[in-house]
Amino acid sequence: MAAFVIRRLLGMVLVLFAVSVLVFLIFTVIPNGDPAYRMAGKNVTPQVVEQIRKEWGFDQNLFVQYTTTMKKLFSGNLISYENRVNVVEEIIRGLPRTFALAIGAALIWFVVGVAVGLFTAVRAGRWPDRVVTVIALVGISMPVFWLGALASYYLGYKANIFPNGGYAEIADEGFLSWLHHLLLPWLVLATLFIGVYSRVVRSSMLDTINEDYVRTARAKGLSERRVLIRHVLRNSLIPVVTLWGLDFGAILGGGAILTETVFDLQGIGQYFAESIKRLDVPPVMAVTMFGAFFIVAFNTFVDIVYALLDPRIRLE
Amino acid sequence: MGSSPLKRFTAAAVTLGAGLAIAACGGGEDSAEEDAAAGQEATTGASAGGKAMVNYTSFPDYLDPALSYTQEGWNTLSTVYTPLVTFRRAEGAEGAELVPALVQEMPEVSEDGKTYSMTLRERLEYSDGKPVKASDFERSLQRALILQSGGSSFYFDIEGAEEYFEGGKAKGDIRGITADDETGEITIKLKTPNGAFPYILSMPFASVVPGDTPFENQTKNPPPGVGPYRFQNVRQGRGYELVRNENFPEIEGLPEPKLDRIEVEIKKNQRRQVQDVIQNKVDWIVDPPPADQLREVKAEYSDRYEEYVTNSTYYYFMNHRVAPFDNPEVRKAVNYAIDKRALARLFGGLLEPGCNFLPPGMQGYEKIDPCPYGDPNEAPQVDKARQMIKDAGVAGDEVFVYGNGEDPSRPTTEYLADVLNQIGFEAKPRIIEASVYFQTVGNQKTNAQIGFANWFQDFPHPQNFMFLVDPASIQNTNNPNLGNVEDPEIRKALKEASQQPIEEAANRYAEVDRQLIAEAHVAPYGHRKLTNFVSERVDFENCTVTHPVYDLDLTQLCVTE
Repeated sequence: MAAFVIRRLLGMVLVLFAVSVLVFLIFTVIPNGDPAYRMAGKNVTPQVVEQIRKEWGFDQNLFVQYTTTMKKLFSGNLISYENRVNVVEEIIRGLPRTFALAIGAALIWFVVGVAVGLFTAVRAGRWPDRVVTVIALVGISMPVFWLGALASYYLGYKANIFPNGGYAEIADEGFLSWLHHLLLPWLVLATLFIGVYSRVVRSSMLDTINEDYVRTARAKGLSERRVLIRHVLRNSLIPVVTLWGLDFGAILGGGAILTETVFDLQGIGQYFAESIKRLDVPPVMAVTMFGAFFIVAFNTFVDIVYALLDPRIRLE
Repeated sequence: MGSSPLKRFTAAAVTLGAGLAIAACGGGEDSAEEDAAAGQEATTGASAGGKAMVNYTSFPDYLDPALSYTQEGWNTLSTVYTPLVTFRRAEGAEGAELVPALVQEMPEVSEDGKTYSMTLRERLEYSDGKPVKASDFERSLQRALILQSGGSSFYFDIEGAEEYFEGGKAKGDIRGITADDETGEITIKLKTPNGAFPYILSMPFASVVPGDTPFENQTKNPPPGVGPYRFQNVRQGRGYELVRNENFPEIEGLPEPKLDRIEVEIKKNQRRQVQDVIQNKVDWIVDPPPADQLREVKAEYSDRYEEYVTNSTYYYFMNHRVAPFDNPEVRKAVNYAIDKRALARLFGGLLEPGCNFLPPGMQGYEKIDPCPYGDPNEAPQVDKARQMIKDAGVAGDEVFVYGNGEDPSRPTTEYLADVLNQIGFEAKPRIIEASVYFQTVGNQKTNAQIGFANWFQDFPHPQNFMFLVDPASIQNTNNPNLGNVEDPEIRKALKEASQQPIEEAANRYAEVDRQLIAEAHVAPYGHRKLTNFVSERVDFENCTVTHPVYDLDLTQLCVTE
């Protein structure tokens, strides 16, 4: 088991290394992407550009530039080319907002998605199943930016039931205000996933419901509720948990760019989108590594848990 | 004011819980009425003091005068820092007038135009109570140079400044600046006379900060300044507060601030900003409303909305070194074919169609009337242009029109490609990523034939526009003269004008402006309009002063309590 874990962790490091090299190269080889020109401002002269290049090491070869960037990233000293702000500090500043959005939304979509999946699975083929299936498909089909904009406009601006976007710090405005600001983003982000998860749970449960051990459980005289919860649902959740781990990792790593932007939460996703727009390599590198870390870490975690549950995976 | 959104939410949740969803909607309407009533109450006249809320779409690039080079940055920093000379805080031409700020009188200029002498005002203090010293000026300029500020090169005319910059060592000395802390005398020696130097001296880069300010970006903890306000509670990327500076001296041309406190919040969603101004939660927004909200704002809130023309020019460059635009007749044909009214529509109406290269608010501007290519507010002469292209023998030539992917560059680029096709070219737009656009078209190797260009003033002196068409500024990379305008007469006229004070040089700049248009060196089509949209709390008539350099003067903003 220890060898398996070490192998997986090494794999994780390799993936992160590959991601960092790729991102660095992509943003460095873009034609005319020389950051020295952009940093020199509107009033550019060759002397200013040359001085910036020298000072910031843009005149070094790509390998040196890459290693310097990574060294600065891991020592927490990476500076944005755009506004010379410490990138790691910026990420830390956006972290509570992104985490708050991701954790709340992920809990909602998991709990509601599973409940709806369970509900439709036990009523498969009947009208409640069909109605909920249509609703789930509508949820999946609605883009977050569209739903978010509508919700924000009607429930926030027009009806004044929710704040019209923004984020409230608990320390400044209290827990209730924090919750109040996040409810709408949570619901909007969760809507898409609820549709997907309910479909996955339903399908997985329908596969499990016909297994021999379920029939055996029923034959033993267990109540239908107990059979569904302890035998069917529990086994059906394995693929769902895997999916949830990956989605949650991606959202934690700044993947909810659209939701953050529509509700102006100013978390990591929004920071990432703005940095890409400005071709500001340091934050792009840092947020990519940050996001990749969460995705790879959750993936590795799921693999390890699988290996614990099922020894065959370890052998493979 | 009406009940808070949190209370409304709680009420709505309770109501919903009881199954009375309709009542919840009614609650929203009630509160809107309460807001409206509160708004009506708020029209009883503004008083000095109080607090206002202002929204920017993005955090200023820096809260450090040595580094900031954006509209948001200067809008804020002009209230906290003051250079030796500055602009009178007033609207229009009056706002472009230089006044002595930290110095007693305007600098005395030597006969040869190379030496500027001035004396610091007595008993000046920073907002933290420490005295201002003459040597602080040199240190402040050194900071800008060592930090490789975007404004560094403006100061290369000072003797020794370029060497100091290239040396890159904070402890050095700028040879051309001498400062005596005892007498407060400051002398600046230039390499060559520069009529625009007083304006350069007034830029925020030359704002005076304490001599012991670290040579690092100070955005997190901005240094004290000598301005009407001081910074408080700076939250990088999120916002900050401007609090009245009790040590601000009486300076003619710089009025006392009206508000005690201005809270600046960054709201990246412009739509939200507009909605918040409508609901009187925010008092002023720096950016114009998005196009889809503009009509509503103009129609329903015209009593607190205005548009003003900025000192900016939008134009198409035409590369004199690349066919077919090396032919003056072809360049004239382009000028005949452009419909400036259509272009204004592409800006959502926020463009003042024009014929001049210099903007209307600029010294040296003399309206070119009649415009040789027809009235900018009337239909273009496309048939005439088509005939000229035919006569020039370039019909059917392939042309790439350069532009970047952002508004308004993309639509105006696509528009021009369409116009060029109408007059006989085979034109296609070539869209470049915005962050590298000017770098790309400013590289001679790109051989960009024609494309989108614009310029917003750094300071209200025509030199700050004319360098874009000055043959002397042509360079191989990052060429500001995108069209490679190489007219020797223009070069000579601009060189001579640059060495004269603006009062003497204004006519020459006007002449160059006429020549640029007559010979179709460029194809200008208008000047950008910006907007002021304020809450009902703001006394719109008396408290919104739009400065030609700093936009809305925050020091003169006032609100009702």
